[in-house]
Amino acid sequence: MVMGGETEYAISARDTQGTIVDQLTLLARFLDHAKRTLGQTSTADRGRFLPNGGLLYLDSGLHMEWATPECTSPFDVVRFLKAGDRIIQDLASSMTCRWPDMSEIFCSRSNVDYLSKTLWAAHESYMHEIAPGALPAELVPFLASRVILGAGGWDYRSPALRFTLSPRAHFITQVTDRDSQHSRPLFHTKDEPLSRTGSHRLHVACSETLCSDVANVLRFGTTALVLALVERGVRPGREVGLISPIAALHRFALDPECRARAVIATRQRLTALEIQRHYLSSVERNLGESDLPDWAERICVLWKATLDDLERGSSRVDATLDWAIKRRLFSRRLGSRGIEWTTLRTWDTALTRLEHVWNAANRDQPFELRLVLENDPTLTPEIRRLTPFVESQGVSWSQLPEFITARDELFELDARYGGLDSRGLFNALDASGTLRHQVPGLDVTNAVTSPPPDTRARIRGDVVQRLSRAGTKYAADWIKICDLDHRRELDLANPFETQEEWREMPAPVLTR
Amino acid sequence: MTTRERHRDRVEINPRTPIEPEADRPREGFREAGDAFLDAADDAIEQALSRDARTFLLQNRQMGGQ
Repeated sequence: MVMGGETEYAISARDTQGTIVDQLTLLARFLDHAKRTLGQTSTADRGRFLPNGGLLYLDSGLHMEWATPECTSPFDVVRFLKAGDRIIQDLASSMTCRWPDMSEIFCSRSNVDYLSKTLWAAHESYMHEIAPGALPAELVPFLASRVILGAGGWDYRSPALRFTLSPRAHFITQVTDRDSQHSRPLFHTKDEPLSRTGSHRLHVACSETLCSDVANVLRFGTTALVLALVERGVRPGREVGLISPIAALHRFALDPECRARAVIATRQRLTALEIQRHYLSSVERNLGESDLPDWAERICVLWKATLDDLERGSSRVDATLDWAIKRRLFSRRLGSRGIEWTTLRTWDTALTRLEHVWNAANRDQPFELRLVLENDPTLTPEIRRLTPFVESQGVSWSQLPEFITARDELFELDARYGGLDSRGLFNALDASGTLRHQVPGLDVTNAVTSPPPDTRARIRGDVVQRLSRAGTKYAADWIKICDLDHRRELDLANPFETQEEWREMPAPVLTR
Repeated sequence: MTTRERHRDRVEINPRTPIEPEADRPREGFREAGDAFLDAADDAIEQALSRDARTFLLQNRQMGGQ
């Protein structure tokens, strides 16, 4: 089983006067700095493979992105994801020396800009040999219920604050699609294999970047095991096929107690935990089979322990899973402002109602909270109608400005949670020793410079390092490296390639 | 799907389910760890927050991704 992950980073900077550095200028500087600092002689403009076999580049959505090298275990994927975090942060830290006019560069693993209501993803890739048409039936219930491992945050659709296990979940509108740039499916079906071995590539698009090692290892490990199971001919999805998978995903995401239920084809109503347990049992029944990976049992133990903890309540995972850690931080901050968590639901109900009224009357101008503060005439009758409800919940309209201030602060907390430097909330909590998210044996330092030993990434990493040291111009993609100075190419179409065999190059056509 | 099935397919959260995080409630065996977490959280939040969240959010605006 070969797999890999991608992280898209949020990056922003201020100059010494405190003014925002234009995003395009910042990204151009970042790329240029990466090229000079990392010393690669690739001819590509937008990114390059590094000696550890991974790819650092500017993606089509204009985010700096790190794609891990090809790995054969979830533990390795997480090691290399963390290596990417370190590479990005080291580059950001050293940029201020080169451009002293930039006083502060902020890099984060967050995936949401709440002001613009834009989201970006953390994609996953898995090599498999299943007929692509069979995937939806087997995978959709699994992916919809896997939301219990989400990053946590706020539902971007709410004009107030609505906590969710996964902001990305509410961005997902369809089960599958071929398009990876404009549509928002659970997974893509374009099947760009990045190999010529007859295998396929599953590209999962419904997750966000995770900081917790446990959540991250489980995200990749459980998905890979379900695929391995289906490759064996087991059909675990059919018994738990959801009637409305996207509605179920959204519903599961909005319930931190994991008790929300969704209807399956047999008309039973299952929780996300029950669906996950069904998949876990299916994998456990096949443990010991030679075609399951040797790390399968370790993942099953962690999977079961996490589901057991979630069953007992979110407090059992609030030092382990990102969404539960965040929720605890949010609660703490609200408490320090004297705002009860229950108040969020009141504001969500009232402001959502006002948004509907506004949208019905104004199709061109989006709803904003300032309209409520200004008592806009369009909203006045509805505000009056809502007042008894709001007051019955122990809240008054005069508290709205304070709520809006707290809301901005909680959005900032969400962005700061994934900050890559030592002030990042997750990093700071981790350094304090109060989290229980670590998975033993993840050697990140080694992953920054050395490729995984058991895939073609080892050859790629060694070759790009050697060519760069020799000052040789080259171009590379996932399945090929072209030595442009000596007009020869290296075929890496086999993900498990172990031999470095060059052949004469017909024509240079690669871009990275 | 019938109307009844659609109705059953809606969100169902037990009204008695506590909707606030359990973090601040003392739990036997967890109290000490919980206190340490909250102390660390307070310190981390103080260090991290900009004191002007709206400006931070405006500065940190990002383009949409995939």
